Amino acid sequence: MRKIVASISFLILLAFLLFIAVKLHPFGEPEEREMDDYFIKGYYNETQNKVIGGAQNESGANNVVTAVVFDYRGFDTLGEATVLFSAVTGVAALFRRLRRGMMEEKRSEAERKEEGLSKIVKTITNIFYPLILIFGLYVILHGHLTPGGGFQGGAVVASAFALVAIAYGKLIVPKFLNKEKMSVVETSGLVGFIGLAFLGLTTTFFFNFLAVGRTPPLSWLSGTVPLWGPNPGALNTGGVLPFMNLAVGAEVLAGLGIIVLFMLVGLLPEEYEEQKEEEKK
Amino acid sequence: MIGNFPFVAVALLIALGFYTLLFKRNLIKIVIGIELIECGVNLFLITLGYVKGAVAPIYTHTLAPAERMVLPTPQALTLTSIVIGLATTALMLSFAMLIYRRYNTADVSKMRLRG
Repeated sequence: MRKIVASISFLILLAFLLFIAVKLHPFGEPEEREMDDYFIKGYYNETQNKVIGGAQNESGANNVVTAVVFDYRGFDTLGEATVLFSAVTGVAALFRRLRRGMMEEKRSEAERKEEGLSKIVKTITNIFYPLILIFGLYVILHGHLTPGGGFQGGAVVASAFALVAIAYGKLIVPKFLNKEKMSVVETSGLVGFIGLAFLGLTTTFFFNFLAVGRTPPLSWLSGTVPLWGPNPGALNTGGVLPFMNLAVGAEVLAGLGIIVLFMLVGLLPEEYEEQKEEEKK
Repeated sequence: MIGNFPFVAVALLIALGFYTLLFKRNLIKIVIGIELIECGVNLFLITLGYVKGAVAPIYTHTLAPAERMVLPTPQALTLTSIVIGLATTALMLSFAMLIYRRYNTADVSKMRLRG
């Protein structure tokens, strides 16, 4: 009975989805809607969509997606950063019983060396770890110029942590990925992001107060006019966007690092629990 | 000419995800189903904003000022959705790990409340 009802509802859903897919506007020809309708009069390039035309002059960022994420739709990103923070908190809370076990150092040095994958993997990890870190930091720093930003760069850095975690195993990693420092970095990233948003309160929440010509004494910081076309990169453009990228990057890399650490240590907790029970006896 | 095929692909992805949710009872498979729905939604947002023959909305990479660009807002929303999806997936997998450890099974139908 249950299966019949499930099959019927599934078929109805599939029919609806396919109907929508066929009836939607033709692929590649989206309509202009009010969703993209924010601009300061006279700023935007008439031939383009309003966000695209205005992004360079209003927020001073060459990467329009970053301009939308941190400037036009900052509230979405605020919610996103909060969801990420609470998910990390949830993972940490689920594995809270393991916290005591994972910081203990009961294993001998020889046992630590045996842990993890083969020597080849460890050597390659040693070579690639700094390269991945540098690439991730590059993606974070150039978020307003090239594809990328705080979220993507933070994920790249966290993937370096995951690489170390897989190669070296769970005995060394808790020492290497310090949970306390990570949580400090994560929290300060989120607080910095919200603080930057509050600094714009002279006009509105999430106002890009550093963008082209808005605070003249600070223009050298990041308020210069962005260059057009292929360029070596003018890092000091984009107003508050580079700083928001940095803050969000710190939050994401530390948050995902905490998730990697907790899930890795949570993988095989039985022995720790056995140890605890033995201690009780 | 590919017509509306990307939208059909989105519909099939989401339908696959719902199929997994409805008919599978393994916790890991349920997480995979939720992930499939999420991928479908991400693909849907990206395909919605696509403009034929347009370039990525980044001025550093464009050559001529008049080049058409794809819509940036759906891409920004997809970015949001990807990161939230990653975090919630980690949370769901953590739940699955703990449930498996408590009941010694990943099958939802075999779990009974055990105080």
